Amino acid sequence: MAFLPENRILVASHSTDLVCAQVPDSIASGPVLAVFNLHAIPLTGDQQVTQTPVAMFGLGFDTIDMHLHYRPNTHSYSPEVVVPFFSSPADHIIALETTNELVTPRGLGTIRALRDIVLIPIVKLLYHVGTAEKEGTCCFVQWDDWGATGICRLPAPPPSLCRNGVSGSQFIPYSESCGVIDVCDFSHAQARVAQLQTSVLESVPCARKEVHLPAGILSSATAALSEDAIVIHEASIVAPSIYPLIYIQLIYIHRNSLPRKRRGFIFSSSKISSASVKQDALWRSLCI
Amino acid sequence: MEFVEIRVDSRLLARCRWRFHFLSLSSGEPHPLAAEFTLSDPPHDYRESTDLQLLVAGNYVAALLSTYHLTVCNWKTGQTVLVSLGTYS
Repeated sequence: MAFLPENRILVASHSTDLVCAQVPDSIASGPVLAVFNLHAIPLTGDQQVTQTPVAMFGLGFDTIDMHLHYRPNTHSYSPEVVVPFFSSPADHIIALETTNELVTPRGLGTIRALRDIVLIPIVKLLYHVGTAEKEGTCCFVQWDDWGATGICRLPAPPPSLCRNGVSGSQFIPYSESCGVIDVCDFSHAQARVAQLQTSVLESVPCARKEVHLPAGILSSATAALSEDAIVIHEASIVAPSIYPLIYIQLIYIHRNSLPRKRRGFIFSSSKISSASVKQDALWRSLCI
Repeated sequence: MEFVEIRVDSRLLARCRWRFHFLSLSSGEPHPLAAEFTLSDPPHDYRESTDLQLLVAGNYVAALLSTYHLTVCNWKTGQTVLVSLGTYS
């Protein structure tokens, strides 16, 4: 679920679970994204009402599990205030994490989970929602009319990155490269609004930039993204032959907003703990 | 700006009732603007679910048990503004 601007909420569901009459056959039994307007019916006390969504967006593929990830900028500024590293709300993206099952051929019965990320510019959804709200009826939008163009579909990174790898218009995709974190920036996605009806199969454009990790960071490090910083957490075992095991957890912060000459990993904290005795109190900070 | 923290008391699952605590991050005390209300308890099978997702935005708080139930409330007035079944995320 994700709160959208102007008191709306976006959920991932199945159309059969939603209260909506006359659902088209094309999306009647499949997964959908649904938008509710929270203004619609004010209730009191324990009274509860199941509402009808304003719009339902059919997904053109099946999935056994869905998770929505959306994190708007923490701070809001008026349009008159120019903050270089903040993207406009119109540039924000929503990430839909989907899971499907792939059964291997020849009847071996082996099932592999296939996880994908569908990155959707928020303006694509709001464009249709705004139209539906004016008409006052539940709007059904089929995949070919909204999702076949102007989205970006990528292999999903680990779940921890899906949760924390979305911020504003930026996303950290799955990467096989050690020592490098890719960041996709969709801050010009709104330029596609005027072309939403195009039939050209094309992904929404993004700029990719690479952040090189300090030497020695393992590829298993997890990362979280914010407006102008990447926070990387790395846990490693030192001297595994010694008991109790000593764990070192390093946190690196990379800020994009610093002047070019000063970019890089500017700060780190480390946490040292042992496997048998909780020594989590020891923290130290150092500038690198 | 005020912030809200929500805690779910999941002890004694068999007899537990869900309680949502709205706290002020500036003081740690119960938020002075929060209304007193309780959400409907889910079936026992869902009460210890780790899939409970909570999301706060402005005056709204959304509580989702994946594939079962989504409830959205105005935490300042106590009004339930949305109930949706079967929601995944």
